[in-house]
Amino acid sequence: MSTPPGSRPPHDQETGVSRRRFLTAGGTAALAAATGCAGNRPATETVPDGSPSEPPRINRHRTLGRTGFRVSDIGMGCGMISEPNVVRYAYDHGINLFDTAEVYGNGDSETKIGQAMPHMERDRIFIVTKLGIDDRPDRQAIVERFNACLGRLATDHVDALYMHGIAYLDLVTYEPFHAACEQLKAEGKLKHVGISSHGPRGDEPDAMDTVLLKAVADGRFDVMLLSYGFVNKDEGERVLAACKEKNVGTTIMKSATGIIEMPEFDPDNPSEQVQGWYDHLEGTGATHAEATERIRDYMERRRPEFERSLAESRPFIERHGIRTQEELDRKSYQWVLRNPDAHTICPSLATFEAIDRILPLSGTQLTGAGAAMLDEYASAFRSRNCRFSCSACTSACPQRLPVNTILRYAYYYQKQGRQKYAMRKYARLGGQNAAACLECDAPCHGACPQGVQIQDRLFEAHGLLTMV
Amino acid sequence: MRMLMIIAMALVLATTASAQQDVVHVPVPDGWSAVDEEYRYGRDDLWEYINGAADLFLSYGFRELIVRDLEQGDRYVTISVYDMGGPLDAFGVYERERPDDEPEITDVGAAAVLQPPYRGLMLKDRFYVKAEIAGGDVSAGSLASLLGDVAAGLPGRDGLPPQLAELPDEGRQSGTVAFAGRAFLGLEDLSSCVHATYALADGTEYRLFTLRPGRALLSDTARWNRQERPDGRQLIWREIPYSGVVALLGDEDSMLGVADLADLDRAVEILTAAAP
Repeated sequence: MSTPPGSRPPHDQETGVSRRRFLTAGGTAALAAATGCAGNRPATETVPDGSPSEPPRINRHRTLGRTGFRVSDIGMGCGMISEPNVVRYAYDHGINLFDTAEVYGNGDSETKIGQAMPHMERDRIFIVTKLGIDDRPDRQAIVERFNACLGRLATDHVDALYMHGIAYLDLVTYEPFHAACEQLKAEGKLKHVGISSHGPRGDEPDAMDTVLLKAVADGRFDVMLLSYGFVNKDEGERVLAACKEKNVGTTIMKSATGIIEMPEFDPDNPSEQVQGWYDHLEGTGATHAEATERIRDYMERRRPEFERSLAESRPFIERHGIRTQEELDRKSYQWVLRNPDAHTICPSLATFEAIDRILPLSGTQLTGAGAAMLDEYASAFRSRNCRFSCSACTSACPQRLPVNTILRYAYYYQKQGRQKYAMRKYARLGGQNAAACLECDAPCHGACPQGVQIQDRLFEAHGLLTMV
Repeated sequence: MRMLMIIAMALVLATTASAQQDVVHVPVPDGWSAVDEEYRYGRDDLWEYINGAADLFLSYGFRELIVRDLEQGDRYVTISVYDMGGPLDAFGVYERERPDDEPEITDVGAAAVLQPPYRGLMLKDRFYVKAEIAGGDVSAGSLASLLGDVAAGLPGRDGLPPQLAELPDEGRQSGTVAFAGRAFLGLEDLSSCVHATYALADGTEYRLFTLRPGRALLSDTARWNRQERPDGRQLIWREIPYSGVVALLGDEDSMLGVADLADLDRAVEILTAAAP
């Protein structure tokens, strides 16, 4: 492939370029060689079996909850795909879960998966698509939209249909959706029901964990998509624990959201990142001076957000001695991959290069300090955090306080920064608040199966939520 | 890192319309009235409105979304105006979201299409607009008319971006011109590409595309092969899994590319014929 055109034999007599070879090779070695970017495995981390010269591919599978499907530990978020061959490439390297949605490109993402479908064995892949139901469509409308998804996906069934991006608690039990799913299951077009949630939206929406914990308790959801990473671990851990208890499959998004350093702007010596901005701006018609002005303006506007993101990332970065953004992303994914209750991560994969970069992480995990940190965290989590969906301690309280609810409000206050909202909610409990604990000798002690010191936590919560 | 760059780049583009541009509102056509107030979504919270679909918009330079419900008697339509920062980015996302099997309607903005049963899509200048029926019986004609009125109320020109004319006409398949904000052909180095599908006399299809090459494309020797041509132009090429060769010819200001051909010599023939 390095020979210049016009100075060599016809292509189909060579080893590297013929279309027939590409179409028939099928093997991962040829494909990885073709992209020329097989990725580097970090030396300090555990590695999957196989010699280093082998092309990267999926090395670990996990059971996706009660669906029973053995899912690759890395799945494919398909929100940005524009080439069906990228889907095919992921499949040929062992990725077997493809996560799309009706709204991704107004069906374009599903279409691209459908175009790759002839190259994949249907029974060996797990297709997820999602329908938004914020506008509360009726059952028939949901069925019709689902059938359109099926057509675009070029398949006779979907493995899981999710309620998409649910932010309101009442939608979890939205009966027209469940009725539509029952109908589609009976028709053989759908195997499992799922739900996704990103987190709170609007004025007073419900948090991700509130929504998903209710979904777990509801019992009709077999699998779910949630945000989980080291910067938002509390909510995620809560949901994962509940899912494990009920054998619900878990797929993970937003695992790598941290930044390693503040982006700096030097127009005379732009970083790779800033050069990328220049390339795009000038490629769409801006002059160099205009691009410079826009980038400068952007950097100033975004500074507070960068600072916040950096502050969230810093402890993790320091703990792991991370020096580059790529390393931070990689370790962020590995932080999640180490948790067996997170069955598969679903990063957005739109390019061959992105697939090559992430495949070496399959089957790997953080080691040493990373593992210790996770263990410490897990231990701390168990003794510090109420699981909210559990009410095992309620009977131990002579006042029958809603302990889990009070601690949830404290969580809103502390972890989500929704102070006024949390205080308003707490005030609405009236006399059912933790002031009663002041006169109590704590028969709740030892009542929490997770080891939470209930009275201490209620005192803390009361102080926070009443400004006392 | 790449994804962060892409998102961050999109955030830059979100400001590309520049602070000098006037604040845009959803036009309220005669005969319709606004319900409630406008809702605005920026780079940080677009996902609150469209979930994971936000990534695509961000990759195309999304700047701001303005949403407003309009009513006319018992009929309700939600208008979503996506300010994409520039006409090429607006065109790119319109083409990605436009249904292939529905004919475009004429004389509405720069381009428009209805997607039964409940949605209309429209492009004007740097704006990509969606009109979605939220209640009542709204006919296709009414929805098209409403889209036309909204287009008339938005600033900018009605024509398509001039960069689309840079591709040659001969052999081009009708309705295939598009714009990829990033990852054209599934390759990270190919961004901001205007592309279209062409056919040879024997029926072989291929894609031609134009781009202003980024630094990575010009300097990366690990993934790309390169050759200096006698006329001083650069030829750059590599293989892509399953689809053969992608080759580009030009200089650091502008390149023409071809993809989907198995044979590099044929690719070069096509490039030199299209850009002699």
